[in-house]
Amino acid sequence: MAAEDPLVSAGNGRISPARGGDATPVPFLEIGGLGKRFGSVQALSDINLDIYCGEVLGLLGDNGAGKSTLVKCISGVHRPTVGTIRCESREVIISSPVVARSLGIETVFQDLALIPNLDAAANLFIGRELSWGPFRGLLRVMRDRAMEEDLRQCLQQLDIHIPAGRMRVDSFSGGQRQAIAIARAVRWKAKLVILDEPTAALSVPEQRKVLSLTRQLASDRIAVIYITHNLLDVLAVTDRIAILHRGKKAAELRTKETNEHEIVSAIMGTAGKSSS
Amino acid sequence: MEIDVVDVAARPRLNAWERLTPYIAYAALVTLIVVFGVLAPKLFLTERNFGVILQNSAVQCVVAIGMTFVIIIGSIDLSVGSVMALVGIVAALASTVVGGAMAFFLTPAIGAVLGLVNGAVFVYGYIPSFIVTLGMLSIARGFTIIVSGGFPIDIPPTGLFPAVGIAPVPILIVVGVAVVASFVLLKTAFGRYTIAVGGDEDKARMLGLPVDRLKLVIFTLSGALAGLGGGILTAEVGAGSPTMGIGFELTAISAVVIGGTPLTGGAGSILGTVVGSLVMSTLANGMIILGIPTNVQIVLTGVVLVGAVLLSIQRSKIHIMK
Repeated sequence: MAAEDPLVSAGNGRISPARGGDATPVPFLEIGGLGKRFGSVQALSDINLDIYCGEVLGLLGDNGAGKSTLVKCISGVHRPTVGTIRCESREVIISSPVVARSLGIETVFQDLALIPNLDAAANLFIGRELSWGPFRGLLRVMRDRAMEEDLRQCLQQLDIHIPAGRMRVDSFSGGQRQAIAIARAVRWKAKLVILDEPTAALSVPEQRKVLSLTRQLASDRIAVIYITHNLLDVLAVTDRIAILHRGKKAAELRTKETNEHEIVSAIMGTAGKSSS
Repeated sequence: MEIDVVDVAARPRLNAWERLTPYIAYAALVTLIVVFGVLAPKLFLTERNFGVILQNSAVQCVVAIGMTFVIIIGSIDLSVGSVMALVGIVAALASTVVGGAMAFFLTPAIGAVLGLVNGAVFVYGYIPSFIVTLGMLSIARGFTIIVSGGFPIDIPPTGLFPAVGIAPVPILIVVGVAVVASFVLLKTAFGRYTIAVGGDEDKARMLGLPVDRLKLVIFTLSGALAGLGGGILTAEVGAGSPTMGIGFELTAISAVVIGGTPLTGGAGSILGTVVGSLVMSTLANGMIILGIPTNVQIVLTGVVLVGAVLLSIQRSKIHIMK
């Protein structure tokens, strides 16, 4: 394997995970022949991709290459036009974000899906509040103390520092909000966390924090899809890289065996055309 | 995008004035009591007069508590005054058939049906709550006049129905409603989702919260409490009146806004609304004691509403004003 051309496949082949001790690991998610058409626009065609637990898969591509569309197909926002998605070896139809969540797929969107006027604990548990007493549904009585304690432990576990108390999350910095969104994915035992441009609006120290959180997710055996434009991030945090170009998978690379130049030419769609 | 340093904790979106809005109601109440107390100490500062203020604030407060939930999700219910009148007339008519006690207990139920209609048209028709409830304001008022023939309809002079209107029963009802509503808003998932929908409805939907069901329930609740308010007012007057509750939506909205619940939604408190209701009834009482003509009082009520919104609205949440 190691002697293989690092540009493993210029088309649709798959490569096994770069890390992982298991002899023959089974992918958490297997995407087969996936295509998505919006009217006359073919946004994605024939995407084959495996996603493994404990591995950070970088998803790269120029604007309009289909990264967001692919992620939205996985997170239940879009329904693919053709193709199959298998989750833990079972074929699944991810018809809504709620279904995705029930499969263990949590997406940390660019706009984070945090309710701005609620505090961190409320956001950690939104829609899944801890409750007590006989009431169910909307009238269930919340256990605020228990949720705050749970938040505290969760933040401690991830080494996230945010101010204590019941501050609204819109008074937090971008990195702190990013961290809360990631903590929510971890708290609910996500098996696959999709991070969409997680460092885009952050200061340098905050970017570093998010990168180390991403590695921590992988070391907790969570599968991570990391979408970004930032090549330094990609090289720092990913194990494997899939590059989309005009709706097709242009390349799949092992991070350790590649370099910036190769990644850039795949993104530009010039990988096969020149050898240097 | 602005860049933040990792350890800079707070970047508050609320300016100093916006953070003060929850306390406007208390300041306004104290100010009004001082002003009226100085201008008319012998008439205003009596135990009996404070009793009158409390009694008069009761109906207003019940209706405004329902309105609080509506405003927290960023909507508005303009139909409450007409709903009160229609419910009062129907209850007065029903009291001869099913008895006074039963008729009173029906008032929140009849109001709930009207509120559910509001909610259903709002949610499934996908039109602004302002238009839906403005329509209901006219529809319910029209039915009130048709059903009553334009004249008041008496309720039985004895029994439970008129007894509900005698002090301190309305005040006890308000206290009960306020305690339950406050608990629901602060401690239940319903309350939290209400605040979440007011904060960012798109994200609430994305997170799978039952936004439509929540809106239906909130408009039904507002209708039910308007119905209960109509029932209490009918009991106090001793008759259902086709002109009952005209302009009541204005005082209810004023009470909510003065109580610190911004019209932009996303925050609010029941206690604030209770104090806001006291402010409105103290203002009305003081103006009567000072002998301010009724029509001038109506003008001032409008000024107070616009003034309260001017002071409390969160302009940072509104991008375009139309």
